[in-house]
Amino acid sequence: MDNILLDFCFNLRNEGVRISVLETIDAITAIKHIGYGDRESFKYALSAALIKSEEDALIFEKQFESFFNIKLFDMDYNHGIFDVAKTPEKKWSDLTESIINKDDSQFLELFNKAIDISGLDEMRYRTQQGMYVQKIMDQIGIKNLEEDITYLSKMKIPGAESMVSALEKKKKDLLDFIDAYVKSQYELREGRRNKDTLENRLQYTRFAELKEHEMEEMKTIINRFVKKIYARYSKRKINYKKGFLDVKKTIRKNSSTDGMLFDIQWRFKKINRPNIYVICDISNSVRYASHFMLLFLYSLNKTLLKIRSFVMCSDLVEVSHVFKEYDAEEALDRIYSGEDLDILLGYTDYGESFKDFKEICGNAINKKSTIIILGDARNNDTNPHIEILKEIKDKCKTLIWLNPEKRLLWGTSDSEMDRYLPYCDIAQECNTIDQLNKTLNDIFKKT
Amino acid sequence: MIEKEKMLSIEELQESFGQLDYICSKKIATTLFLAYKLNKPILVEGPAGVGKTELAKTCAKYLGFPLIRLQCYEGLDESKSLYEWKYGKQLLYTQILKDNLNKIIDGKDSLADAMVKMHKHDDLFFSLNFLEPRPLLKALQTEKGAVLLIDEIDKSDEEFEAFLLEVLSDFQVSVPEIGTIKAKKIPFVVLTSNNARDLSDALKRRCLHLYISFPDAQMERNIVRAKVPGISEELNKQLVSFIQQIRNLDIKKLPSVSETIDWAQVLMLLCEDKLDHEVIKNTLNVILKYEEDIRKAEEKLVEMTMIAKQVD
Repeated sequence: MDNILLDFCFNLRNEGVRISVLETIDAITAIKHIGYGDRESFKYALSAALIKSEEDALIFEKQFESFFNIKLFDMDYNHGIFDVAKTPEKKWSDLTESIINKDDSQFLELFNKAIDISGLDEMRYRTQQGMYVQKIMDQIGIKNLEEDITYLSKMKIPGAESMVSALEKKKKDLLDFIDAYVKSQYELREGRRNKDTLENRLQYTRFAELKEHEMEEMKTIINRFVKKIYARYSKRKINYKKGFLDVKKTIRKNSSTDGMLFDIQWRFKKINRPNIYVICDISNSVRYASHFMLLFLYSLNKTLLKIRSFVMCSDLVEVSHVFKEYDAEEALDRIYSGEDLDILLGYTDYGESFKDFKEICGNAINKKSTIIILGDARNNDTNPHIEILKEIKDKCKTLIWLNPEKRLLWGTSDSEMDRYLPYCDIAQECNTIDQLNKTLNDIFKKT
Repeated sequence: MIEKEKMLSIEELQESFGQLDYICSKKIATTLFLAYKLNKPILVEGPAGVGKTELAKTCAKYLGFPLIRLQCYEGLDESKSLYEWKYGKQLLYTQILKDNLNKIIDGKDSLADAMVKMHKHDDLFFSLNFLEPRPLLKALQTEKGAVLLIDEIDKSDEEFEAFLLEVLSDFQVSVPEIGTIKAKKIPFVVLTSNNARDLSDALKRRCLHLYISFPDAQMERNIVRAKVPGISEELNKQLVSFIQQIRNLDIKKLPSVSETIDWAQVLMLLCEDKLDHEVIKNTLNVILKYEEDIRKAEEKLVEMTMIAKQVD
């Protein structure tokens, strides 16, 4: 049975469920206690040992149904039919015996051994499937079963005939079962290989080159990154709690005990929540990148309290409330269509947008604020208002510019990037998930 | 009384729990059975009021062990959960012994000699006699075994969670002054969580996981029948159907199982034997706790009452 369970764990891991070795061992031990006679408790036992979150539970449900759908558990047919066969004169083969005795565990043991010896793990190519089916059938003793059937059909005892047909039927079931098992294993392995490479590739693919069907995959990756960032951030918060001895408070508190220090008071550092302003260019020239930036922004909005988001095109508008009210898809739709937002979706104008930004929150920005600008700085030859950016920069703690364009292109044609550059504390090329992730990690380290 | 062997099979467990008025699904029973056999803690998650804490209590009753409860909250630390030195007692003893100090030192003249003499006694003040065991230590020290309920673990800090790992995987704790204290008998541990925050993978790995969701109608009827004896079958059916419908609405706080039971009791007190529009309207505040929710439910009241009445 262990092999089958291991294969199953492998499937789950492949689907993105994190299963440790310890949990696999738990599952195997659990099944030793429960047995596999009862499908329901079998399932619950596996789920208790392997699945630790609600999202994973959904995956488990699906995987379990498809993996164990094969008629593993209904060996139970026509009671009593095999009673005649339990005669001592003939020693049945192991396989036949497991069927006659309706002994699931014996059957699974045989099957397990067969998989082990046939080396199913090493299957690489589609064309090998037939060979492995044959190998497993040889191992499990299909020949002996056939011999037993022939022997039985020659026997002149009542009920032998129905037994033969029942065994024949079981033989057919068995063939189907092995066939399906090998096939599913092949597909899983193949699927996993593809997925591995796809996920890795996506992290380093430029946003501009992403294909439609890869978008979905991208979303899960983004979500995972944001979760990581959040986990790090919440940990930092707790470290901040530790403080120094507060002498004043301690003396005051302990005056009732005549100055004996019973209750020591600590001075706590104030928790420094990052105070972040993000401005995202949503014009057509950076459309491909802004989509992901906004997704990121959306997730950050959900996890951090003090983040204010702005989008800009010909002018600038705050969208924090849109993120708060709607779910990701709808929020993005609303932003791109400019619905209910006071925004001009014409030529990009960074100068005007910075002016607007200064107007909206010029007073709120202080030495604790971090400002992140996402955009290509292509200003359509209008006034870039560099002095305003300088003014903002002087007020805030850090100003970060993430540009989806390659560094080589900065400052070419209508790009004002090289003129803005002196006023950015950090300016980085950012056009893959990997870069975005690294940059954001840096930001969180600094704030 | 003859001690019956516990946890023989899943069916036996389900039945015994039923006798203790805890109706548990096969899923719950299987997980409990495994946790007992594998000596592993169970992490129970699910919405508020589905009987997570009750599960631990029933376990204690069933196994005949004492229930030791540790309620988690922000700022919970070792001294409140594991052990604390009895400072007062230590202080008191030193005061009493002060007069006898001379006898102990026994007229030694030099400081060094006195110290050597003293060293023979100092550990006395940091022995088990001066240790105040808190829930975790208490659970490890019981002779026969215990059910340890660590309630709402998600409310505690991450540091505390990390600290729990030693206790949960090896069932031992380290007290620097004394050494490692091992469990005399491994307690049956139940952790509950309301999902206020994500628990660490390390903790989840050490536990069996059980997610309890709201029961289906059949199950909920059984629960009501067990908890509110004497309720008429008709009322039971109608009220459960109504509750199940309410859970499908988009409201702030879904009514929990305990609220279903409360409501059943209220209706019993009012001597109602079936639901009707007026009764529901007057008692809606038993199951819904927000003004907004009540308003939303009232909009659909007629429709839902109709459906509830048609259940057979």
